[in-house]
Amino acid sequence: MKKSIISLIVTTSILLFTNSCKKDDHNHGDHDSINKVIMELTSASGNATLTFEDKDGDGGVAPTIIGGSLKGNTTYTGVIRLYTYHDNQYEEKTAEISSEGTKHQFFFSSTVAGISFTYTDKDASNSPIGLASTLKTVGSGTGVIKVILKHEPNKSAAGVAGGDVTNAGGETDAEMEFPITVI
Amino acid sequence: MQKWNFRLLSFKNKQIKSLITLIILFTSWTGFSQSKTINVKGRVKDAITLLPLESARVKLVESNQLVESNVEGKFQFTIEKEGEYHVYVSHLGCESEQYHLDLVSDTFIEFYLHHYHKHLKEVKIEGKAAALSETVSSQAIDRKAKESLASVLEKTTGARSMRNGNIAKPVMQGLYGNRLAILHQGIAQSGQQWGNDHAPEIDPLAANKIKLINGVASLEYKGINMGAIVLVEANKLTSDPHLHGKLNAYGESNGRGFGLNVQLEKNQPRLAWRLTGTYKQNGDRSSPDYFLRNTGARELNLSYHAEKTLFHRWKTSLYLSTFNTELGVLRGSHIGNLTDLNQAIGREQPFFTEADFNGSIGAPRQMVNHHFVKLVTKTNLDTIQSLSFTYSGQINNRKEFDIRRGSRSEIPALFILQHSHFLEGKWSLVNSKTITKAGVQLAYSENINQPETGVTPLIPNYSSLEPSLFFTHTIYYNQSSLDLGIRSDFFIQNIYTTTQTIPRQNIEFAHLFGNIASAISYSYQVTNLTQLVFNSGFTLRNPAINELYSYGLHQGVSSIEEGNANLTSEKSFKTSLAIQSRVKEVFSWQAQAYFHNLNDFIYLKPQSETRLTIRGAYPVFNYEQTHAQMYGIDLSTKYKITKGLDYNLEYSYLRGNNLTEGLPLIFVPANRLRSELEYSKSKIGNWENPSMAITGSYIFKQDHLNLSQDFMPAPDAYFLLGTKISIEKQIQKKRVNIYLQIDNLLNTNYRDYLNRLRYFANEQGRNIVIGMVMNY
Repeated sequence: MKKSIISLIVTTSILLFTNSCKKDDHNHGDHDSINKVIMELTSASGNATLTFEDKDGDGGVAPTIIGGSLKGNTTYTGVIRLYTYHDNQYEEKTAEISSEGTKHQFFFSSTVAGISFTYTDKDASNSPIGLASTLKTVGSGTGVIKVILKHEPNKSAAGVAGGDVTNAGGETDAEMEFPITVI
Repeated sequence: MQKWNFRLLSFKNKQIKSLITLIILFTSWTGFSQSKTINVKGRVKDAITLLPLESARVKLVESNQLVESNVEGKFQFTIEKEGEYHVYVSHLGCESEQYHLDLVSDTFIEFYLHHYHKHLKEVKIEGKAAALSETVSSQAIDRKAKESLASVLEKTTGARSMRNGNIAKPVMQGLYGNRLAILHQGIAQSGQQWGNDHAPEIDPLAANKIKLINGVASLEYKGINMGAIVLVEANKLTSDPHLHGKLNAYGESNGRGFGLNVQLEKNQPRLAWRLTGTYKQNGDRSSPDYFLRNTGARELNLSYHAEKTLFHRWKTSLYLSTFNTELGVLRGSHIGNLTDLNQAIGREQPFFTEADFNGSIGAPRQMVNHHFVKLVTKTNLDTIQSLSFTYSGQINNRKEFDIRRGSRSEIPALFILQHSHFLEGKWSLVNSKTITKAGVQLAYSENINQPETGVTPLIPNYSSLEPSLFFTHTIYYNQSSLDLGIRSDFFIQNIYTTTQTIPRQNIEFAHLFGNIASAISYSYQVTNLTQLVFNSGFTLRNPAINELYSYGLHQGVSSIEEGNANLTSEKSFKTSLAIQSRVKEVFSWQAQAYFHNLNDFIYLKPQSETRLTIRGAYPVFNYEQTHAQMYGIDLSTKYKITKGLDYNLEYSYLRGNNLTEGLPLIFVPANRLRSELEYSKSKIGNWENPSMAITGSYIFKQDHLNLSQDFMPAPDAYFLLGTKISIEKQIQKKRVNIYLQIDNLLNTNYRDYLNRLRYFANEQGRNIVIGMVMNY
């Protein structure tokens, strides 16, 4: 009896060991995370490309941020593109945000006096998304443009359609500050 | 001339055996055996004081005869024909029980009843060893049918729950998660114990009996053992040859929930078995002022327990269970970054609160399946030695769904499959003066993240092979007993993960840990009514996988957690002293004081770095080690004001300190004061055992905490009032108990420090529960 118990233990443990984890099952990065956001600002008097890149997401490597220089008293057309990084390459996710427009909204603000934003796109419910917008500068100054992307915000809450994030709720999918100079 | 034959039978009763220990002493006086009628005489006594119990009600179900015991505890009745009978014994303050008797001749029966303490303050001599334990009985569990394991446990003095809304996990004397083993049928519950929002996958209704064990007795179990373990067991199978069962149903107002539990059991000539099934569900819970959106839950559990003797000497038992649940997580608690959290904290009502009740469950949610099998075979080698072998296997399948873009909300963001196996050989020797047990155990578990999530897992894949040995020895000497025990566990672990740097690459780690745990318990019966129990134990705990390797964003609290592969084992030293005493029959009290020293205590330390990511800035927490201490006292008293009127008062106090840093420990339960006034009678008209209780709980504010240690100050103290009315009736062969329970009677708005949702929402408001337990 004892012998058979011992042999049972031994065979079971061998069986268990040989049936070990498949080591290649790991995910290499999130399909959900946003790792790069590009905001293209174009105008008759010049363009700027603002970039925020964070390949390792929650990881310890600091993101790469490229700001820009804008001209005063100018109207810029803003277009946002987003990318996710997995399996060592970028995949564009802009279309995913746009097709789920009712569930997303960008919010813009700036510390530079006089800068204002207007949404120029609409989702299926006629509420703004923010993938397309216009930016107007007034006087000169140095500061940042802050862009927040909310997932499942309450788009009908007070002030949200006008670009005020206060009552939006939802989950922040991206929140970036681009350093800018207005000359 | 009468000739007395004594037979000592140990009955496997249908319900909980630990609270009412029944010893039936049969005496047949053969001199009257010619007579057609059978005289049944007996006596009912208190098992502890051995004093006779007056007014105990003994009911013979088949003949519908009911007698009450007299001042001397004696009763008698006469039956017209021999045969099988069911006897129902009840007494004020004791749990009502049904037993099966085969009456062929005049019989003398003695019932030894344990008084049942509503707040379960009894220091039990567990396995005759001087271990401290508290037990939640089957009857108490039945009448808390709607509760989870953690909530049921919370009714004991030292226990609390760590919550994420309706997801609750037990906290015992400040220990939880990786520091508190939960044993299901004596087997360490596998699963994802590291997560504060991962509830143990056990159905209390299938288990019947929940025990808290301190001291040496806990050393024979595999699982982290830092001075307290939670043991969830099924009752022994019935000895009754008839098919019996139990139907337990309830409905509740808050969350519009209901539940149904059915048990069937029978002792067939060759096989004793029990089958249990539970279904529960509820929709959105509500706080006093608003619905808690997406806090619904569903649960479906089945279990089967069978026992049979093989080859005439191997008593073999099989236990199978499956636990399946789907749990919603408060929609408004799903947030992105710290700005979101701060915004949520300041709100009157959580985001996404809706005016209407919602019964469905959406993301974020958890779906968990847990399957369990245990096979034990036991034989007696001689009159004092026995040998047992156990195999147990578990599969834990956990999926957590987040709110995701695309249609990925239907794809889990976390999907872990864990397989565990356990083998044990145990030898025990029971003499009149000593008990010795020794065993060898081998456990293996494999934790695999399923790749379809598309999300980097928080916990890596790993496998762990864990051989263990234990030895315990108990010596009785006059009024005292001494327990000594030692166990040793080895962990051979392989971890498969990816690098945190880009480009990500697979990487493997291996760890070898050796743990040792030893304990000593000493119990001394000072007088008949006073007992002292001293416990002291030293335990090494190896760092858990999440403490070594978790890496990433902890969404719920908007912080980044980083494991630390260089952690060493935690050294725990816990000492406790308990006193239990009775002052006559009217007043009893129990106190347990404990001191817990933890060297190299593993905790999440906030780092000075705030990490900037594309989703905003996050605070970073790393697993580090410190010197910590916890100490506390659990106190409970019971006062019998007059016959039928009882008053209980209990208090628990706990402090935790991080000595190296000079800071309080976080997640230490706040102190609690609780009292209950209960009025009960033996009958009103045809109704039996009517009782009414009012319970008041005061939970203090956790003020032993610095403001900088949390995102918001600890919630204020609160007071909750509850009530319960219960009544029983025998309807032919069925015993029916009906109860009405109201929790949070005053509809108080409050938040609790141990609930993660304290940042987002108030706790549940008033809940009216109507339930029925029918034994047949």
